[in-house]
Amino acid sequence: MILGLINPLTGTDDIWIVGDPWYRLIIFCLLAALLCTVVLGAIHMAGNQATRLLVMGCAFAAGLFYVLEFFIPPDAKSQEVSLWGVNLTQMSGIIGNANQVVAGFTFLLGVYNLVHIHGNNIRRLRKGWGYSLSFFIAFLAMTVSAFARDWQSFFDPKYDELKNTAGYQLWMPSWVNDVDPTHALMPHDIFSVLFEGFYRNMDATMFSILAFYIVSAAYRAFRIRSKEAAVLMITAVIMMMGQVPLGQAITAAIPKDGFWHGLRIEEISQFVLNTINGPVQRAIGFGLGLGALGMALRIWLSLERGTYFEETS
Amino acid sequence: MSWETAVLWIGAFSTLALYSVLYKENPVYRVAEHVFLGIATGYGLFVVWKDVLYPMWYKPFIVERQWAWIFALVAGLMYYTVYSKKLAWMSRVIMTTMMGLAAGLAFREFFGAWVPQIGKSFKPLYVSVNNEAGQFDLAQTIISSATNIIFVAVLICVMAYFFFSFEHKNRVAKGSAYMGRWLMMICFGAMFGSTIMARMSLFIGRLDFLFRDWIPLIK
Amino acid sequence: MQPLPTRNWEDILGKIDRRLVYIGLFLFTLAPLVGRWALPLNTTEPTKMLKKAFDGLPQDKVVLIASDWDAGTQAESRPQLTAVVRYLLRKKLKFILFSVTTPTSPQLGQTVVERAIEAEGMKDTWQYGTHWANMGYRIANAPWLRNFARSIQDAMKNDWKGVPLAKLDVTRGVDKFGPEGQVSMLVDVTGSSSIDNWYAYLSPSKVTIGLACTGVMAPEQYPFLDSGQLSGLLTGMKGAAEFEQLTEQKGFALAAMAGQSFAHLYIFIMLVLGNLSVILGTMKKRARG
Repeated sequence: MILGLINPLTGTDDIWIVGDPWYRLIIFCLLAALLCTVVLGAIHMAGNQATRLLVMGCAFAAGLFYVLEFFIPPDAKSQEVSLWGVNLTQMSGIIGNANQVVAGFTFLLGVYNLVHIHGNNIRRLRKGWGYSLSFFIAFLAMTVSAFARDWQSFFDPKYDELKNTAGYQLWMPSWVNDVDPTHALMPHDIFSVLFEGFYRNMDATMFSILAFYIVSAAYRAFRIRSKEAAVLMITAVIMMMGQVPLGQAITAAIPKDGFWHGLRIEEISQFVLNTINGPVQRAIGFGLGLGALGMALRIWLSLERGTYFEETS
Repeated sequence: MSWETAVLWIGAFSTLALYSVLYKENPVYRVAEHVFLGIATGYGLFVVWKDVLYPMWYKPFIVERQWAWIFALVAGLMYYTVYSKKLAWMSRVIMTTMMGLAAGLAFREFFGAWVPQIGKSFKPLYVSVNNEAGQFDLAQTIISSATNIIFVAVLICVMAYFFFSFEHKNRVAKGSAYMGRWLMMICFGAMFGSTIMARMSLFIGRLDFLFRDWIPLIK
Repeated sequence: MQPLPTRNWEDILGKIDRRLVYIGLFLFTLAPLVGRWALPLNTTEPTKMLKKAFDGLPQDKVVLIASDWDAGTQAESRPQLTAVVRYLLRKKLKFILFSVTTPTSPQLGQTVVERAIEAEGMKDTWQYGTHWANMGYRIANAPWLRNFARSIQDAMKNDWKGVPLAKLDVTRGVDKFGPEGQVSMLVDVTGSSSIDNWYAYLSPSKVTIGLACTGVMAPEQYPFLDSGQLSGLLTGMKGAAEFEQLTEQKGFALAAMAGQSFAHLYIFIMLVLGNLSVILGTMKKRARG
């Protein structure tokens, strides 16, 4: 019975549901919705203590699955982990893919937040509502043009089979979906204008502004007021100069294969990176790794306190 | 004007609109900033559908009729109860389940990423090096051994700095922790130098676009 | 009428208008690019290691390229990906692109590969689906990554145009990492911390891992280079330039190194000027007692 429920998720076995008519899918969806409503409703009625227990139980059970999957030795031949006849390794595949889907749905949560904030700005004509309007115009333009471009590939059942055949009718005009192979590098459609013209350049420019701010910071804020700051700055200068041709030219007179080659600035900067920076990063990494493990344990065992593990309502 | 030229001009205009903030905050910059945000959000939404939800949820669920995928939708929708005070517990259930899954995987992650590092930290303090002719190379032996000694010493010093289980009263512990602090300054200097390099690269990328693609000054 | 305040050196050096500082950066960086000043570049060991890793790959397996960058870091990541892809093309090594951190990356990566194929003159011989593919974007969450490390076919299912992996020659049967698997190497071209995922989930499979990251992230990767979990490293645009030089490619990064050099020099000058004004001020105060 349980395997019968899980099998349809894998899509690899002979599933009794595949190929079924629409009405059966709809019936099952309604039944599932009813089941979820009943179960969630019952928990809701049970009160705060029950929901708190559920929250803790879910975190523990979820964590326990992967702990077992990691610590139980795998079968020598198949390299898969089983417990009481249940193949945990294969099950981890189902959980992984389901997780991907659930994470996909959460993306809409971020979109909802942005739409909510900017929508309110426009509705209440708050200061700068025009900027929120420009957000909406750009958002809708990109969303509509992108979905319209690929709409056929999503919803035409014959698309995969017929897309490369002559006479196959495209649903969208070329300014929405340009499939001309001579325009492969820059399709002549709206989506390309938005992506290649606006998005790519804007994203690159946004980040490049940091170059100006870092120069400004180096000039105004980076003052050598202590010995530590002096060490930091000297190392930074060695790194800056040791990594680029102009800096490397400073010590170019020292022969590359000679005894003193270690004094060439690029050698010094590489020494700093390998022999000083390397172990420092490793030591910090050990701390971070152990910290992350400790934090994971706290979450798994519900020892963590705060928003997720305590009833706030 | 060809399509490519139009796109190029749009790119140049977008770039200059955002750079205008370097002079001072202005409406052109603010509009460009919001347009960027809108396009990025729209594109993100599209890709999540195209690459995640369509092939991994819609196709198996609707096209292949694997009905159990309805529960993934229910789980996803549970996140949205975060906006309701009464039903917010549902969002906590799904969030903690996801966090529990990630927590359970933390052991695998630690062993995959950090355990090999522990083993490789035990370096031989004496490394005998032979040259190409197979003869003992004293200079390389000294350099290789010294490099390993420095590596291990730096690692111990920095770890000592972060070791708070006992007070650093002992001279060795105090001295090594003190050294660890200085060594970290060198490391942070290296990181700062690298960061400068990265930021300058991004600016050069924009210059290349403006003065090679748009105004062909760079040949 | 009030007398004009007298400006002394520490004021002049310490209070340069930020816009002048910006213009200085602009001119200092642009001049060597326009002047095409070419300077010799030293190739570092991590870059040589990456090339060596590519050179040792078998022809019958595929290389997975995790293209995890967006346009924000394209000045560093784009030349890196171009240089890596062009070298793989020369070595006739089949490769598959995918992304787990940035939704825009598959689109950007696709263009890079198409241009690289054109630059190598292999437009008619190196076909999508037969020699290379783009698997698109997936969200990097831990359970899915675990599944990906276990079975690529199960985790990915189709390419970025929705074509099932079993229908493409290059992806058919590609399922496992490491010596026993069908993937010989994973190269992460990244502008984020995506490499941490591969250390955690792919290191145990003994697959060769290469990295092309931004300059910001590079220092953090040296412990992994030392432990052998990483087989080679390209550091930002400089790494791309070194790789271009090493593999005799005529690319953007190498040409940009003159601009990079003078930008660094300019920052150094600004650091000195900023501190000089403080030193002069302190000396003056001391002289006054």
